[in-house]
Amino acid sequence: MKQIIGGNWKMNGTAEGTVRFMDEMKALGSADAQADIVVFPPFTLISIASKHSDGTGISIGGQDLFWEESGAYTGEISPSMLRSAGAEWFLAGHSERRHVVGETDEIVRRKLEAGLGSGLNGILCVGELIEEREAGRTEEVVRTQVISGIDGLDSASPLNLVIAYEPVWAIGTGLTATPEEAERIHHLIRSWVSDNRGDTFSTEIRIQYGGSVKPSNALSILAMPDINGALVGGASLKADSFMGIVNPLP
Amino acid sequence: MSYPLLADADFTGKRAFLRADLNVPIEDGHVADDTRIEGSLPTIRHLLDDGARVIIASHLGRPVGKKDSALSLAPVASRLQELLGRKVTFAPDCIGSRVKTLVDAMRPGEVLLLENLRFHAEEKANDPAFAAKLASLADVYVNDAFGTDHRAHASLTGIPAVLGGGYIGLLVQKELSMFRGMLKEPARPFTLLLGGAKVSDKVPVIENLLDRLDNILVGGGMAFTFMKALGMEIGGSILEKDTVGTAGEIMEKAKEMGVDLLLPADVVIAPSPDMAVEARTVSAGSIPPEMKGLDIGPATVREFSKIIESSGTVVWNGPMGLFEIPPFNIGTLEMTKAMARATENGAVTVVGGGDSVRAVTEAGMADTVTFVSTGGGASLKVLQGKKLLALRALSTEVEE
Repeated sequence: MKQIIGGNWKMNGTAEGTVRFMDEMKALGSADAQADIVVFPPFTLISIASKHSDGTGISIGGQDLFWEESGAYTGEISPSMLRSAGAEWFLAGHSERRHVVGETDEIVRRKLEAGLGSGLNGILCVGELIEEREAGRTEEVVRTQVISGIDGLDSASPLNLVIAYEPVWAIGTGLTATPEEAERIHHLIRSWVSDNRGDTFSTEIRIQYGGSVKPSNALSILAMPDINGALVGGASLKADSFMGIVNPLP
Repeated sequence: MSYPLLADADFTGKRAFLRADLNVPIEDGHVADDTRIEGSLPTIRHLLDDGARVIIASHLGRPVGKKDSALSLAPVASRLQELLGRKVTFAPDCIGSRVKTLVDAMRPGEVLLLENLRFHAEEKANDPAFAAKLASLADVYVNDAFGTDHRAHASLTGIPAVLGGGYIGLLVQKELSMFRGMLKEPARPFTLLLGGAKVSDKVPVIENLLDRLDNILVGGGMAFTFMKALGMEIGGSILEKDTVGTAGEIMEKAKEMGVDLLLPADVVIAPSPDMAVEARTVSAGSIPPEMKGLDIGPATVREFSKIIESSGTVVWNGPMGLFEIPPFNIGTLEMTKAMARATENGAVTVVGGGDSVRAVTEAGMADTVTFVSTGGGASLKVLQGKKLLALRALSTEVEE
C-alpha cells in the first residue's frame, strides 16, 4: 500500500515561503518519492501553492471547508471554491477545529459529505484528549468519531478517504505515542471500519498517524503494519524536515 | 537517529561554511558543464534566505597540492554569480589573512567562494591544523558535497570535528533519500546491472543487496574475471587476478539465494581498442588468445534489455564496454535505451557511478531514468550499505 504523507501548515506560512517550500521540495526529489504527498496550506496560500507545485508531485488540500456550495455564509469556503483554487484534498475534523472552534461529530460529518460529494479527497481526523485518555475512554471516543464519520457515507471509498489518528495530547507537544501504542489504536480503527464497511474497505483504507512526527522518529512509526502514512504539523513547514519524513534517512 | 538537516539549525546571521562539490569541467577558462553548480543552488539559496553569510568551498580537479591556475575556481565564481543572481565574491585562497579579511567584511545574505581546497596538500592529507584554519572562518558547517563524501579530507571530516558537527545540505539529503527509498522496499523484480573494470568494489554491492535482488547482470571488463572463475577462455581481456576466487564465491552465493546472475553470452572483440576495424562478435568462451573483449555483444544486449524492461527496479553501475571508443560504446548505449524503456514501463531506474552516469548523460538520456546520482564513488559506497565518512563526522548521534 502506497503511504500518504500529509503536511498541515495550520495558521502558518507566507507567499514567499510557499514558493521556497515548493522549489526545495522539487530539489529534494519529491516528484520521485515512493509516497503520496499532500500539503495543506492556509486558504490564502492554496492558489500559489498549487501554481508552484508543478513538477513536485505534490497535491494541495484545504485545512477545512463549509458544507454549502455558495451563498450568505460570511467567512466560509466551499468545496468548489477549494477545487477552483487548485486543491484536491481537505481535512475534516482536525482536533483544533473540534476543540478550539467547537466542531461536533455532526458538523464533521456534514463537511465530509459535502467535500467527498464534490469530488475532493478527504482526511477524517480523529483522536482523544488527554483527559479522555486518562479516564480510559480512548477507544470509545475514537470509535465514535470514526463511525459517525463513515457510517452510511456512500460517497466514501478507500480511494477518496483517509483516516488520520491524532491523539490530541501528542499534537504540537513533542509527546508521541510509542509506535506500538499507535499501532494498537490503528489496528482497532481498522477493525471498526471492517465491522461497519466490510473487509475490502478496511484493508484498503489508509490510516495515517499524526502527533509530533519528525524525521528522527518517522522510520519507526511508519514501519508499523497498520500505519500507512503520517499527518505532519510543524515539521511540514520546512521542505527538508518534511522530506525527511516522506523519505526517512537511514 | 537521522542526519542533522538544515531545518534543525538557525542560520540567521551565522557564518556558514558550505562544503560543496563544484568540481566542474573547465575549458578555456570557462565552465563547460554547470550541472554541479546548479545542483548546489538549492542549499545556497536556503542558507541565504535564512540570513546566513555563506562561505563556499570546493575542490576542482587534481592539483598536486599547489596553486595551478588552470584549476582555479574563479570561472566557477562568475558562473555561480550568474545562476544565483547575486554577487559572489571570490577569495584568491581558502585560508590566510586575506581570506579572513574578506570573511570579516561579509554581511548576512552575502556569498564568498574560496579558491580550490586542493591547492593545499593538507586538504587530502586531512591535516588537523589546516582543518582548524578553515573552521576558524565559520560558525556552522554544512556538507552538500555528496560526490566526495566517502573521503576523509580536511574540509569533509576535519572541519565538523572542530565545529562539533554539522548539517547535510539539500543535495546530500536528496541523494540519500533516493537511495534509501529505492533500496528499502524495491519494486520487484529488482535487477542490478553491473559493469566497469573493477570487480573488488562491485562485490560488496552484490553482497549488500543479494537478499533483495532477483537478477544480476554482469557486463563490462569485470565480466571477464567472472568468466575466468567459470574456467572460460577470455583471451587477452582485462582480468582482476586476485578476485577470481571472490567472483566464483559470489556466483555460488547468488545461486544459493535463488538470484539469477547472468554473464554476457557474446562479446565484441578486437586485438586492441585502437583497432576497431578488426572488431567482431564471438560467443563468450571462444575469445582467441590474442584478442580482447571490449563490449557486450548483440545477443547479450537483447537478453539484458529484456530483463531490464520487465523489472520493477533497476540499479546500474558501470559501463558495459570501453564506451569512450566507438564501436565499443554500443552495449552501454543500448543499456541506456533499455533503462529508458523500463522507466516508461513504470520501473524505478537509478544510475550511479561516474562512468555510467557519464554514459547516460552523454547519450542525452539522463532525463529518461528516475534518478541519476551525482556521486560516483560515494553512490557505490551507499549501494555497498556503508556509511559515508564525511556524513558520519556530522553527528556523534548517528548510529552505525
